[in-house]
Amino acid sequence: MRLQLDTFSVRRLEFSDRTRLVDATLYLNLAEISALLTQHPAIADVEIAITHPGDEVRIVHLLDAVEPRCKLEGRGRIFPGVLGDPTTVGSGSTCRLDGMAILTTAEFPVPVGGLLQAREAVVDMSGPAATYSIFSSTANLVLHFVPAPGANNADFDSAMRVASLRLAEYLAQQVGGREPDRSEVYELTPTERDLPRIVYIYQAQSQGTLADTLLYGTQINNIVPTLIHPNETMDGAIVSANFVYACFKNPTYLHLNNPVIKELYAEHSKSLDFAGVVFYRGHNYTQAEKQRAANYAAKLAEFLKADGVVLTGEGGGNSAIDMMLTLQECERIGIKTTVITYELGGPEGKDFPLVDSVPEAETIVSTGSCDKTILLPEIAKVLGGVAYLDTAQPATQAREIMLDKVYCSTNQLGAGYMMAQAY
Amino acid sequence: MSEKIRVVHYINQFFAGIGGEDKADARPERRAGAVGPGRALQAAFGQDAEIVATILCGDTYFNENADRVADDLIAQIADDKPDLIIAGPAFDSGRYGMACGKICVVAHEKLGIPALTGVAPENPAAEVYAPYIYVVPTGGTAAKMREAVAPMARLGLKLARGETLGTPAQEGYLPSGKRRNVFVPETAAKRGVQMLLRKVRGEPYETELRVPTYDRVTPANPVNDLKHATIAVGTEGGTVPTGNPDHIESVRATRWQTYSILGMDTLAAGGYESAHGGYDARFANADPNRMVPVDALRVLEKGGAFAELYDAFFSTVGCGMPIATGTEIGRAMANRMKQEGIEGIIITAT
Repeated sequence: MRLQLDTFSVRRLEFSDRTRLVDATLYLNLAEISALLTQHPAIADVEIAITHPGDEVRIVHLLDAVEPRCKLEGRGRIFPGVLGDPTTVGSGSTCRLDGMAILTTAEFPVPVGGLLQAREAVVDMSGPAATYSIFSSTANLVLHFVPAPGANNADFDSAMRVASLRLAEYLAQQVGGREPDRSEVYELTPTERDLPRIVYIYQAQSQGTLADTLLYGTQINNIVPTLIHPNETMDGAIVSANFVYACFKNPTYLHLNNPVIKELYAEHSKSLDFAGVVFYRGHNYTQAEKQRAANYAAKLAEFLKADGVVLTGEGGGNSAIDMMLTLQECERIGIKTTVITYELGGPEGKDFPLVDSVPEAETIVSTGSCDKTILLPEIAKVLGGVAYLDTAQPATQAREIMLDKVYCSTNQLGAGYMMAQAY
Repeated sequence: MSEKIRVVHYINQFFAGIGGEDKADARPERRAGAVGPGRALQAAFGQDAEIVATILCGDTYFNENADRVADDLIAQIADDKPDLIIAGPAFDSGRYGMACGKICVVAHEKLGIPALTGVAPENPAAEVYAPYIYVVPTGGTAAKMREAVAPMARLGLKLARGETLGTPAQEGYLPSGKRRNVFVPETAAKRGVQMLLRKVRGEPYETELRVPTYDRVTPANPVNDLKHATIAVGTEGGTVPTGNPDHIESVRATRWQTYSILGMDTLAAGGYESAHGGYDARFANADPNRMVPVDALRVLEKGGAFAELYDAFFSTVGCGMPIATGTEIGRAMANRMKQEGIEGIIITAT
């Protein structure tokens, strides 16, 4: 598979009479976009806003983040299985708009308890909290969806996803085909030297509606660990439908721009031989199912003749068990494995940092503790909602908030620069 | 030129030149300027800081009256307006080390200034006080005085200036046992790939988190005489009366409760719900017996499998709960069970 990725830089977003990209400013026709987003009967309305890094703006009720992309050449459509047939993607050429994100926000129509609910997820565009989210430094098109009366959560969720992914494709289509700012080719070419073969084991969450991940448009709750070409992820083969915990959920934006895949490609043929990606489901229900998934993922890495594995997860304690079992099985069959994980540890950092661990976990990368609190200052403007979901207080107000409610604060795909350390 | 950093130094009766063990009941006092090892410390500070006062006390007298002596000494130095307090070094002297730790904690609390001491890593004061104040590891005896005061002075200046500290290894102090968030120049993904490559190549690597060790829980012995035993049922699945009247938290719960099942053959659907924030609770809400199996246990009770089902079930939410909280709740529940004569419990988990 050979994929050319054409990148167009976007630094500013502005509403205008015509959608076009000029000098890194993406002009957007509001009426046109609004019409595109409100086609499904489960969506009554959408409020569209723009915000940039440094703005005195807080975004709440964040569900997903998407980067505009479209296919220019080659088989299939971007986000296959969601926007069209599940045609195999990852070849040809693809256009992407770098530096911006489409952020979806909403409150779901039917209140639910327990796990399967969308929890508060916050991004501040300026101030002390802005260092904790990668989406504080992108130009953001913030969509706030309003459900139609009588719509159920699953239909509303699906409608928002199709609408926002369609918008992502549409925006890229208005730009693609011209001379890009830069262009890269991704291909797992055979390496000439004898370099260590590194496999990426890529775990994603799947527990039900509002806590799911889609592979070519289909929920992954029944898959055994499987192989996927890294290029397929760049064309949207993996889409997030997970809104459970702000700090844990891996947005579609990062499935498209997976930081581990990016690093492995950057080092391919230099210091390592990128041998492939094993994609699997975390949050398996029983110990036996967890062990089965772990064994299967490790076995596929072995089939790929891996010398080493980078392992990432998605979710809280349940997912951590799947990760540790996978790491243990990889090490047992002789594959060195590094895991990237969030930490807990309590607000003071005194308690146990991991929910689960195995003695074989000798190389752990920390993405920081989500148990720490930070102060969100009073802020002028809020997008995405009015009041914090958990406290119902106005979201303009200052509050102490745990990092687990800050979007992507301890992202396990390794997008962030935070880590926890002993002191 | 900025003003010199003002330092108060604490030492014991021996280093103050009062005497050895026979003078260990020496009363607390404050003296102006540097005394004894304070001179070595002052030399290490150079022109950057000045020891404005020394406080001292006999080791026995201090430890027998620790709260009062520490409060009294810290009150005496308030007018010295110190920017920093340094105690010791106490090397491997246990009582001196404990006094150093205590005086630092009180100075930090009452005056809001940074505090540090130096003790040998095997000194009990190291373990006791490293979580609260900065403890610089030293040699075992006063022969290592010069090696001890240099890193203490260096760290003290950094603390007094409010500089951001690196890791304990970089700065030369004992880890507090706590972890904090910091930002570093490389993404976690890049660090992960680089760490893995070092491990694969057999090069030295440093993990960002050492795997903690957990206590192993030994299962209790079987109930001796089940036919005559009172058996209870409990859950971490968060089953509570609908509306969650006791506000058991959905995550990181600090509360637990018992709910009566007196005269009930089953938990009525609609009467209970799960407060738990970590699993799909639809099945547990549709039929609460699937989380707390009162229906099945009543059948067993009637069939004589055991004497009696205890007339309430135990419930909490086991989701993201720190181990310390879990241990505390477990102890409290077990105490209640003992008081109530419960001989066995079936605990369901999610």
